Amino acid sequence: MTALEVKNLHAGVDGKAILHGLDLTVRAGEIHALMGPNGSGKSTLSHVLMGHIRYEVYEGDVLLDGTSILGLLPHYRARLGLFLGFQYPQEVPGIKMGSFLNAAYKRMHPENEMEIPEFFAYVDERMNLLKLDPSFGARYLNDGFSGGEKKRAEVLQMLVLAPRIAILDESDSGLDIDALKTVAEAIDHFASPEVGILLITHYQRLLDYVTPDFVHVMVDGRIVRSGGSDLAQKLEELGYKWIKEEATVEVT
Amino acid sequence: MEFDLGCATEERVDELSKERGEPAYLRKDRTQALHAFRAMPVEPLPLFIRHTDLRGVDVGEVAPAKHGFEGAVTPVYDGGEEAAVAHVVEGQLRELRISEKLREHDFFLNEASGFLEERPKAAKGLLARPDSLPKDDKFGMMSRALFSSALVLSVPPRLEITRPIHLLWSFGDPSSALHTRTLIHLGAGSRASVIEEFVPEGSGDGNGAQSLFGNATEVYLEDGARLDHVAIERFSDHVVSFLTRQATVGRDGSFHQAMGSFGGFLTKSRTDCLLVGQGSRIRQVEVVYGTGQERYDNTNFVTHRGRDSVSDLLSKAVMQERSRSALKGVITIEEEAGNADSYLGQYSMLLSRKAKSTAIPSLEIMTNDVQRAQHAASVAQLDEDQVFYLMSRGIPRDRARRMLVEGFLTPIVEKIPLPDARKQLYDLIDTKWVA
Amino acid sequence: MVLEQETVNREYKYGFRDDIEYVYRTAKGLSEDVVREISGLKDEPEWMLKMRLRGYSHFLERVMPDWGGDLDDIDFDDIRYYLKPSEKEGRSWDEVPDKIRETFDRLGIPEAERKFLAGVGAQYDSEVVYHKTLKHLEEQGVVFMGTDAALKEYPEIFKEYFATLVPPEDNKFAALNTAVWSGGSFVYVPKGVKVEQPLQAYFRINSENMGQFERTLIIGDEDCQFHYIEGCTAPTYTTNSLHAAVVEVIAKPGAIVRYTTLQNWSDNVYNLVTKRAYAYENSTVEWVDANIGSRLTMKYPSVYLVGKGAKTEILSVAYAGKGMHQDAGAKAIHLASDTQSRITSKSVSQNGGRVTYRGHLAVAKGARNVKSNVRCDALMLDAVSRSDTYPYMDIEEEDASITHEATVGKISEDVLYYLMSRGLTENEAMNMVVLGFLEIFTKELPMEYAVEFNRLIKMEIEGNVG
Repeated sequence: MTALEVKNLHAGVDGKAILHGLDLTVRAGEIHALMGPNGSGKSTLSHVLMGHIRYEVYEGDVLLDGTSILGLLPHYRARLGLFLGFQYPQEVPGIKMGSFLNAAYKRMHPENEMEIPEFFAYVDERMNLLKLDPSFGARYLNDGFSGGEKKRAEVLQMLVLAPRIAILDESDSGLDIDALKTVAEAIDHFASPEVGILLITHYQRLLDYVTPDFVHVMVDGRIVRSGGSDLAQKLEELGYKWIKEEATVEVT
Repeated sequence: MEFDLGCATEERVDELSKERGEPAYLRKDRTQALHAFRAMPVEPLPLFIRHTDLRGVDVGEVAPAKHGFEGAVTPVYDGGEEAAVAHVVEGQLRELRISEKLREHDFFLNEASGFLEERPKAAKGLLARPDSLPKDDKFGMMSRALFSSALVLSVPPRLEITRPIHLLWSFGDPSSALHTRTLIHLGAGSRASVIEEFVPEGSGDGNGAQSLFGNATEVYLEDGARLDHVAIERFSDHVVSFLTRQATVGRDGSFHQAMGSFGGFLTKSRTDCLLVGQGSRIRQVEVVYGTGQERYDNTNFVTHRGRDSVSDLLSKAVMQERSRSALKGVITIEEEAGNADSYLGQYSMLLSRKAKSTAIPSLEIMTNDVQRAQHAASVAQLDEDQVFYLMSRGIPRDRARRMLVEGFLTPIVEKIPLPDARKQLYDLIDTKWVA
Repeated sequence: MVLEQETVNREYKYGFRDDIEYVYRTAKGLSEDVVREISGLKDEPEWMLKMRLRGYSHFLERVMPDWGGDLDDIDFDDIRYYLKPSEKEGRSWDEVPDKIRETFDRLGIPEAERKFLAGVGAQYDSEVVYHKTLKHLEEQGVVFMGTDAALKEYPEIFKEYFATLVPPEDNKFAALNTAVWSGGSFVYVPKGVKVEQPLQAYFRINSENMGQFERTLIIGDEDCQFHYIEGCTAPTYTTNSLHAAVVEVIAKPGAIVRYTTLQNWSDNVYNLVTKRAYAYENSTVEWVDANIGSRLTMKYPSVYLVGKGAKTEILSVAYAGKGMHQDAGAKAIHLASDTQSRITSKSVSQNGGRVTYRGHLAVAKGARNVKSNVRCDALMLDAVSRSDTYPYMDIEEEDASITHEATVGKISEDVLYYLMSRGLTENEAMNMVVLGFLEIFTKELPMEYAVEFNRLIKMEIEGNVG
């Protein structure tokens, strides 16, 4: 069964340790929410999982289906079914969204041979879900996209590339309420017993629309508390200060 | 394109050296420079040959400047706020002031002859340093061979001089030639600001005969030193001037240069900045304001050699009447200069149909390990919509145009860290305007 | 799990050569006799011989340019200036000698002709071996043929325009071309005629130590519209070949002329070409110029905006891998009022390759209300390559509006990571970014060319990865 396991992960960037022993398991069929204040290491975790070259792992392991993926370059991880929706997607002028998706899809799913028209129909269906204009496919990859368009484009890529484990890093930030609902519906649509989802978010508002099975709170590079969706509610009411204080007490 | 100088002879060099009782090495240095001057072409770079123009320059037979000047010296700065002042008039040091406080330190400002006397060892290293001027610059070599007046400014390590030091060169005697050198050395971790001015002397027009002024400024910034250097040239219409500057910047050293070109028949300036140390930087702004038939030929070279070095050069030219300007530049990022950040901008505004402007902002990049390598240039006129907008608020047309020209130049003047220099540049911009 | 790297074909696809028997060839080296011999063989009118001799004498007088690239290894005495591969210019591929036809088959020309071209010309070494234009275009008066044939069939038009844009004294290589020119395309599109599909010429150097000196003359009469496109390749030899062409393009009032070149020489070819266009009143000249191979290219397509309201758009693309120097760029010379130009240059250097952008933008006295916009972007794929930018701007009118912007950069690590997170290998990601960087150019090409161009670039990049 598909599972992403993070075990005692210590990692950092540019010589600065950020994650200090993080444990987390995301199985197929589960939706996890990872919350935490700014600077707690949420985005670092996402880049370590995807294999960004600048991030270093000092200790611990990351397993996909029981096999370590830490030695793999990002594209191998992607081909194994791991997906990261970026908080700040790169703008790549000159590459059209449609042909980019096609190139990526072919590499992720070499077994599914689709002719171009068929593939574009497949993409259009998913663009509809996200209320994206069909002309979107002819635009350059993230180039000149608004903040909201970038977020929706990331979710679109998830829907099209159909990974088994999807990490969405702040896919809700910067969205107005209508866009937030649209994105949430798309995530709901994507959720299935075959895929595991990790939603990284600073705010609770996305969780009003997508109900997570597990909520984790991250502070200073560690998960300090895990619980059900009620934990998110509590965070909303009491803020991170409450957790931080508690965390400090626990540590000392 | 030729440039000959009647007085550029070995006899003249010997005479200069003898008069000043110079050591043999300096005489030899002058002679070598003389040979280099004679052998070199006016424009060493094929890149710029078509854009280097000495037409109309007629200084081949000018005589060396007389030293007998006895007129009254008008202090250019009378605020008394300077850390030090040196004023050279027609080649003669007429004023030298160093603040009480500075005199307590190992600070030196005086003519080269004084430096030779007081610090003979240091003098050899500074005055005859082989790499202190660009090897291919004819006019730097001219000044080095024929200088009759030189100022030396030396700041010891870790001394921070907060008030500016003023260096003034007054010149304008008709049919004469004056060759000068300025040597600036900042010890490690020291900081100083220098305002160097090239100002007109005498009544002005030269009675129809041209005069020649040459200056070579050689700057060394040791590790961590910072120099704010403002050079303003505003000679009279009959003066042809050749200004060559080279700055060598050590590790984490910082050279902030502001240049203003406001006068003369032809001003040909060349600035070379060698960023040899890791983290060394140059920030430079340049204002060129031409009126009448003035011609400006300004070239900037920057060589990035140290890692993480930064260059940021911005030139703006305003050309009125029949004036002409050529802004040229080459930024080179050498292979070993990793992570360099460089920007070169050349912007011109033409205000008359008879004015002319050339811009050649070039880049030579030998490595892809660059933070940024960018240049930009534009040539534009005043925006008539803006003029109209100001007029609709009751401002007369000429005033509106003038305000917009000031608006074009203000952002770069504001980048100069020295209030005195800013004020002076604003005054010059103001008086330069031709309605 | 599929973890193995895709393998790539690293060979220069056009590097093959044929052994053919030439119908005629001159001895190696250049002399007045060779010039007379070429002219005599072609049975030319006296004025052309005189023009050739003018070129020859200027070639002798003119010094080698001391700027641009390194020309020291060119040995003018070791070059063969004229090689005639077949007796006549075929009007159908059946008339072309078998071996030569096979070459063009391998290059995909007859196939492309069937699919989407309005006319095709094919030159093999010194002579045009095939020429054909669609019948309905011929009926409308469109002339598309080899330059030699045009000199015979349209002597008046020819004499009126030949060497008027690029006189023999223009530069050393234009002088050389004038002296020994052979082949090239001649295009004349009459007043008001619009040619929908492109006219294409293909230039192939086959022989070692060969000099190809085609001469192309393109005339668009008033209000016409057409697209001329040319491709060039050569086999890979150990010694050098020389390609010194001259192209003159005339866009009469209201004409819209597009000129596209895709030069993909092997890396032993010196490609020293003079290309110039005159744009008359309200005409538009679009110049799309790509240079992929060659040891040294020095080429600066120049558009002279001579008529009021004329416009030009020049797109210059260059790639330099190992052992290549592309000294390319563009010139827009504004000689009339209300003229506009836009120059876009995109260059990629890799594996020790060097790319130079050299541009000239001039606004002459009297040319009022000129607008021009220049943008140069260079992408360096590794630390051993080199990229230079030398833009010249000479402005003599106060109401001109001129902007120039240039950047030199590398592919950011974060972009590679982002693309790799979508399953692309590092090489694929790099390719994709480079193709995206050049897309502004490829989107201007007919589809078949765009596909071919992308394939070439991919091949070069992968072959040059350090």
